[in-house]
Amino acid sequence: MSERLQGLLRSDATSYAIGAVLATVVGGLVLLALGTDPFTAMNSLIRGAFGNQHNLGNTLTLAAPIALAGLAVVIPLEAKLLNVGGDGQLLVGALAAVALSLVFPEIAIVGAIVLIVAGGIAGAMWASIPGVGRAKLGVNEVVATILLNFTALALLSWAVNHPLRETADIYPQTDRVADVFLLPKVGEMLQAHIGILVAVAAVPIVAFVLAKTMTGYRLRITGSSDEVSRYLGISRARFVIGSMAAGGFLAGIAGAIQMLGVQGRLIEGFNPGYGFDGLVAAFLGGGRPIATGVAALVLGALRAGGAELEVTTQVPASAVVMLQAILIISTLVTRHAVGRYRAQRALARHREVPAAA
Amino acid sequence: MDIQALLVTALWTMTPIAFAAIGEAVSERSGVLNIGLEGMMLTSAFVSIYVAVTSGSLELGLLAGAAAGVLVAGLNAVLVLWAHLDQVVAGLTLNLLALGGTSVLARLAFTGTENASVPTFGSVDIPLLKEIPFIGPILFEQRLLTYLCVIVGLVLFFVLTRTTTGLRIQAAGEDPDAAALEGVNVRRVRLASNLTAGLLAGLGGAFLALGIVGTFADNMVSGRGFIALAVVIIARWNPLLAIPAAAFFGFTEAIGIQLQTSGSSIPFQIFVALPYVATLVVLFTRIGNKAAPRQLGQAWRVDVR
Repeated sequence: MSERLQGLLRSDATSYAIGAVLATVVGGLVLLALGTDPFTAMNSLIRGAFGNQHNLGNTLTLAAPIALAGLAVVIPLEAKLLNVGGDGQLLVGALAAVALSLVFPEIAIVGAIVLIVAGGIAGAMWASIPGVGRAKLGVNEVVATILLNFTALALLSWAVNHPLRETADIYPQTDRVADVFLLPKVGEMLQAHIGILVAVAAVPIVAFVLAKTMTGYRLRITGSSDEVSRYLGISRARFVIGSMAAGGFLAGIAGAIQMLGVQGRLIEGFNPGYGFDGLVAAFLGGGRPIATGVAALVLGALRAGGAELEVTTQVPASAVVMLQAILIISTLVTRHAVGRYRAQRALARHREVPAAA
Repeated sequence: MDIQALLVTALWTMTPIAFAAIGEAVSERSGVLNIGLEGMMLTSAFVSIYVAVTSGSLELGLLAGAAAGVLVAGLNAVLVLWAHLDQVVAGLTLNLLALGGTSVLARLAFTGTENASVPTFGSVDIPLLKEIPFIGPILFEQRLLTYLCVIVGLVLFFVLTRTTTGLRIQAAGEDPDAAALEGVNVRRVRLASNLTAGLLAGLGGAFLALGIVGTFADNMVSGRGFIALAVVIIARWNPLLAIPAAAFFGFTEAIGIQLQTSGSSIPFQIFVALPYVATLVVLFTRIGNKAAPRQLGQAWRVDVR
């Protein structure tokens, strides 16, 4: 990973504002070009995301796995590793949870928590592969995680076609997970499963661990300087593998709660792309946990609102994907420009001091 | 199973990936990792179909597609070499932009009843050579662009290993500081390599659209840009080896499809996963590891030193 990755990703209110304005303007122009009134479109986007309890629940349900996948990027990023494998880790997590519930239905006594943890462990193991490669052999983790995403898709396709194929043997999908494992709704009012609470809890926990604990500090040292970490006796390999595994654990949990809270079964081609959105959330959040969680909420709202937009205005939901890209580019480029401007000003001040004295 | 027919199909359908991988090998040698290959190919696929449909000329479509690839690569270069965005972040973002952008533009461009498909490029048989038993039809009854792909691979291999330009490219990827001291304009070398990758990814995307599919569909590149990144590794950053490496991916995919349609009891997913697992193995052994350009993916700028 580039040395300056984290510096480039540092959040800044100015760049968020400019990024949001640019994305809105470009988005509005695209809508006009498509022959849609931008204000009507914006209205239905917001209504689709927050309009009523059902839509709000939908937004939260979508935002939760994105937030977890975002944290799966944020944790290794502290050690300057970029985990692009959130999607693959999420898939093996989903697979592990469903497989365990179907093969050992007896664990119903313990409940869904076992399945969620199993999903997390599967994701952690999947993420450890590029972790070990990076730590022991210097393998580029970006490429390795991309390759493992494709491998996970093939693994999932095999699983739903062969060992876990439904008893009815009609479609390439698993049987439904037993009702006892399914996650209940948060409340009568809100149409979201309690799995979203995992994400709500994970964001501050990760923020705390990274910012306030010795582990977080050591992880950062691992990323910033080989020499310092060696001097302090920090095992680089342990933190590289550990941070990837921790990230994979959260992505795997995202897969498990998606199965138990939303889908109920694994289907051929299941690949919701939350891992990729998690990456976008982490970029927008400047690699910081809380900001990444907020960005995940925005992305969840865009997904929920985008679906409504397509229904009411015939604007393709893919327009939202383009907006995301514009949002990232304008935010990051502005952040870079603002950073450089400040650095130059600081330098100029520094040069003035001796002259004045 | 007809191995010969599988190989003919493998070479044909892998041409887009081979094109992208050849260019990417050069770009990575200069130190620029193009995660945005996928977006370059997708943009080019859309533009080439649009131009081919409106002008009625496949050749014009091809040129426009290649130009579109260069344009996206230029945007990538601006983000990476001037705005100093992280290479991976820039590439992934360009993929998003292309995915959303082409999907929106396709709805604007191909509205209603208009038929947005074109007849694809036919094969060009080479007399005499195609008579060679077994390999003749595989190698010499291909599309014109497949032959061009081999020629481009040969030329770029020669440029990279036997010319001063090639040395400059390698120096920019191995040790840009030393290269700069020797008077190499690192940024310009990286820009040129990046644009080359864009041109070839553009040709690849255009061939996918005009030589294989014949129409545009959302996300039609479906991971081929990422596969090209894996091909570069299997080929150990050698533009010429990128062609057999891409053919290997195509061959396993063709076997997988064959197994799937013939209802064989062998799980076809093994063949779907095989090339990725093979690439991982190459990456995880020191052979693949050592061949990687040392400063791959690292930003380089003179003003911070």
